[in-house]
Amino acid sequence: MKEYVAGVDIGNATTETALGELLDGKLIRCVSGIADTTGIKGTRDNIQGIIRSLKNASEKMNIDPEQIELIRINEATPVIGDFAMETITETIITESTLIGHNPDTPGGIGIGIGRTIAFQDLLEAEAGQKFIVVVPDTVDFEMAARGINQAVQSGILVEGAILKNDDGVLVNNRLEKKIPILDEVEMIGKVPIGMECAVEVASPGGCIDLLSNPYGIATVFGLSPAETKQIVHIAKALIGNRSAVVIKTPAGEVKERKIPAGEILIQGKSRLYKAAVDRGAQEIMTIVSRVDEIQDVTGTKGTNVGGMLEKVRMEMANLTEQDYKTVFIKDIMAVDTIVPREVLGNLAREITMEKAVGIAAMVKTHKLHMKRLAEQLAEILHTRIEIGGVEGSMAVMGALTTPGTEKPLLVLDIGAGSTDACLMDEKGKTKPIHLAGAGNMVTMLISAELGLEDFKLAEDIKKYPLAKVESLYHIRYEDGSVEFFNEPLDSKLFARTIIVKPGGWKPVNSRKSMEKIRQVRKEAKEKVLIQNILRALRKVSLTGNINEFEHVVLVGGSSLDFELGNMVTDALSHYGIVSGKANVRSTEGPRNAVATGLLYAYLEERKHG
Amino acid sequence: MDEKAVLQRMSLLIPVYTETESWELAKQAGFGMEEEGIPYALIESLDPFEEALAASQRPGLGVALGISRREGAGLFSRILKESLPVFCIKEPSQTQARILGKNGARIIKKSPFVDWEEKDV
Repeated sequence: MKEYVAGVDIGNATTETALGELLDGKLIRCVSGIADTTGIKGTRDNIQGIIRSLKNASEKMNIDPEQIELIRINEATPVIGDFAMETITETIITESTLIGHNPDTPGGIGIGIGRTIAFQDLLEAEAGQKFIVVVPDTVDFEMAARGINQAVQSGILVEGAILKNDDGVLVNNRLEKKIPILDEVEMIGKVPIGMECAVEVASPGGCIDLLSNPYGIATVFGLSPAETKQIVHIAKALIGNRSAVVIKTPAGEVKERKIPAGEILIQGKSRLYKAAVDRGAQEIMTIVSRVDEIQDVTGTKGTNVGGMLEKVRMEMANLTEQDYKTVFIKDIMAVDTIVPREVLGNLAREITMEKAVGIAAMVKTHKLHMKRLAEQLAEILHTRIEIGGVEGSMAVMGALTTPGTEKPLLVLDIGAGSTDACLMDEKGKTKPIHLAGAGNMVTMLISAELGLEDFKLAEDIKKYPLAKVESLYHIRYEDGSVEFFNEPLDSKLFARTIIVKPGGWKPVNSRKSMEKIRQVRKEAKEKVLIQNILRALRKVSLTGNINEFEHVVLVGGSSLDFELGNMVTDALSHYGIVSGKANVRSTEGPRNAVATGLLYAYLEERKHG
Repeated sequence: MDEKAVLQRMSLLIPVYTETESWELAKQAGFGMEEEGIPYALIESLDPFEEALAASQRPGLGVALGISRREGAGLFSRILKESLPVFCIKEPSQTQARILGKNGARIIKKSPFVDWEEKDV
């Protein structure tokens, strides 16, 4: 007698189905289905995604979904992750004292020192005095050049200029005496007048030298050692610029404020551990690794980290309709990073690189609601629904259908919110673990380090390779290979870095080079995914020694990442471990492992009565 | 200057062919190139588009502009295989003419184009 049984795996991103056709209890055919997960994993909102995934598989099997007699869903101990960025330092300028940005085309070259003066007052200025002229956008380049030339002829020493318009080169080309000119200063009206000022423009391809050196600024303004210490942060913010202006105002000061980053309090089985966020990720993770079994994690009240951890807890409580007090954070992962932040009090959107710690947290919610989800699904589909085995064990069952694998086997599933690992020994006994930090955290790091506002763009950078449009007929991929085209490419892409998505290209509107974007992407994956895989192996191991594993198989959607497989193989080869992507049922690649495991586990159970 | 020297000099700058009536717009395009640091020359022409296309195909920088009342402002370059302008603005404003000049220079500098559609007409 023919019957149809489906295994359904509700993941963070996709809902996958393995639909089996059974003849007298034996599997004669198996097809897969896939759909986007609707809602947060483990909630009632998932039902739409489950139905779509089942329909997808049924169409391939050429049956009606109602013919499915049994649906087994995973006992997903719903592991839900969240993440936040904790900036440890912040540079604040009180009063306007710094303009350091990289206009495409500043004018002139060299260093100019003098008092700031408004353009309309220039011709009435005292001869013999040194000035830096501030030109608003109402004055065009010809008028500006004429005014400066006249002033110089009457003995006024014009040493530099600050312009709002993008006219630096045009003005400079019309000057009788060349001066450094910084243009495209957005908030020109905020530049203080009558103050000591230094303008520096480096030669094309070069970087400023004087104003990015604290002692250079001290020399220009005659600062005391104490004052020099204060302006270190100005110099820091100007490093790497081609042009910059520093203005000394009497009340102006720049300081690097240390934000009270707070402490993370980790409740172990027998004692409470404390980790100071401002000591960095490494220290936090050392303390996390010391805790035998994390019972809960909280943060100092009134700090970013405290707020973030409570937000995760609150969201999970709402989603799963659980009491807030019964939601516990079971793992955290911290990563050091440096993020560009706009300097508070800036005039031309200057940025400075601030130290930050990225923190991911993971919550295990109650299992009861999975039962509720099964009941609701049964009502809608009029089919018998069973909650199958634990997700990790099912993933191993599915992964074991990969040719060339055998027990003992360690399976790694890198999801969006968490990294799951499960070890199955020779006897079939499994040991699953769940860790905070996965794909979403990588996206967050990419987004933060590149200063992107669009999270989707960061997600695309994470997933797909990059290329540079070198002409309207050819692109160069990040690996150096070149592709030519017969038809001209969109002119909007010319000279830009693009993301090579399967459905079309997407430009990255950033001044960062392709090499820099690639480096940030790779480092983010290394910092989060590779480190988490090593952490997972240590946790699953009986001895705490990674070398005890022989075979590690990657499953899940993240394994489809174009470079992760190779990165993992490379990292684990140092420990003598053979690793690679699964090929579930010899056809599915790393996808469908849990769904297949659910179906195969049912067949096993049936075989053994 | 003999003809060879003139040709040599012309190959190291961006020529802007323009009708007398469009001289002001051509000057703006020139300012765009000047700001980007690329040399240019304004040349009076009776058929600016045709001459700009021909100039863009000759050895040298491979970029030329044509400005006329009938056709508007066109940026021609060897980077396009077809005999069409890379950009063509029917009735350019002074700002747009300057951006067109900037973009001509940016072809040579291999920098992303400035979007003229978003700027005021």
